[in-house]
Amino acid sequence: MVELVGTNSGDVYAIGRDAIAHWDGKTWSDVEIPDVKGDVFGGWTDGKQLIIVTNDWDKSTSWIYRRDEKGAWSLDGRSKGVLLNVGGSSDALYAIGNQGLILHRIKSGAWRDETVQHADQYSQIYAASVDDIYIAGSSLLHSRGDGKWSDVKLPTTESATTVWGRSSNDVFAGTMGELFHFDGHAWSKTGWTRDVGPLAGNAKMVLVTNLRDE
Amino acid sequence: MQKLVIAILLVAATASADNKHNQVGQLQGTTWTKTDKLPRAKGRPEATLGGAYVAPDGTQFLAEDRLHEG
Repeated sequence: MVELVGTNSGDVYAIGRDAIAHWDGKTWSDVEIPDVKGDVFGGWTDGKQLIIVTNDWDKSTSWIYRRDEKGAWSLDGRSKGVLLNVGGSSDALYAIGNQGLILHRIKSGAWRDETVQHADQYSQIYAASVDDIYIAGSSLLHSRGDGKWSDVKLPTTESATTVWGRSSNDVFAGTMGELFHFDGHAWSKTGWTRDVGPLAGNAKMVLVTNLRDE
Repeated sequence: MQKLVIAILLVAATASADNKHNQVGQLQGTTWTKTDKLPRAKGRPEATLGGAYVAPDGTQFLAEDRLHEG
């Protein structure tokens, strides 16, 4: 799995299991990864720092690393369990993974455990603000930033596998068959009726990708 | 003008992408534009799309998971 994160067309990271590349607007270059433990599973950047999660799946242990503006890496956190991704915003940053594992970054090097007590897996994060956060994977959860997470019901029986948005009243959630939109009041269908893979966008467009059988 | 950048990293996997094609959809307002054919180098097989990013200026980035037996 390769994840893309960035802040503009001249600052994009491609993050794979054992390699990270950076696009500066002209070329891709390798980002040196230190002797991190585990495989890289996800990352987030605000243009100044890059934060990645790695995990050792077999040992069910994960680590969170931070790369500062000067390129220096440091260990920012660790956890029992398997973390799959990190994301949100600089003031609402979350690391999430298997078995309902949710960590909330309180400050540099400090993550608060907000794990929910069920077996769902989470890998996608959207934070509209510090008190409006969604995560998706095998279900869709929402938090007001108070450490409590509640289930979000979509107008489908399918599970939400991904979530992305532009604001509190402009959120998209994808399943293995449809894409839904939240306008601040209710979820509705968008007309996309295929699997939703990687989901992204900007102020003008939403980009949806999928795989389809021939 | 929109640009498209494809990033490719090697990723170990056990699945096969045979018999499948990527599809990309763009939603602007309530209008969908769908694309079945993505640009690729001659001879390079299609692989699963594993990541997407759209920059504020509209530049689109798609990442392929290059699948191989692992």
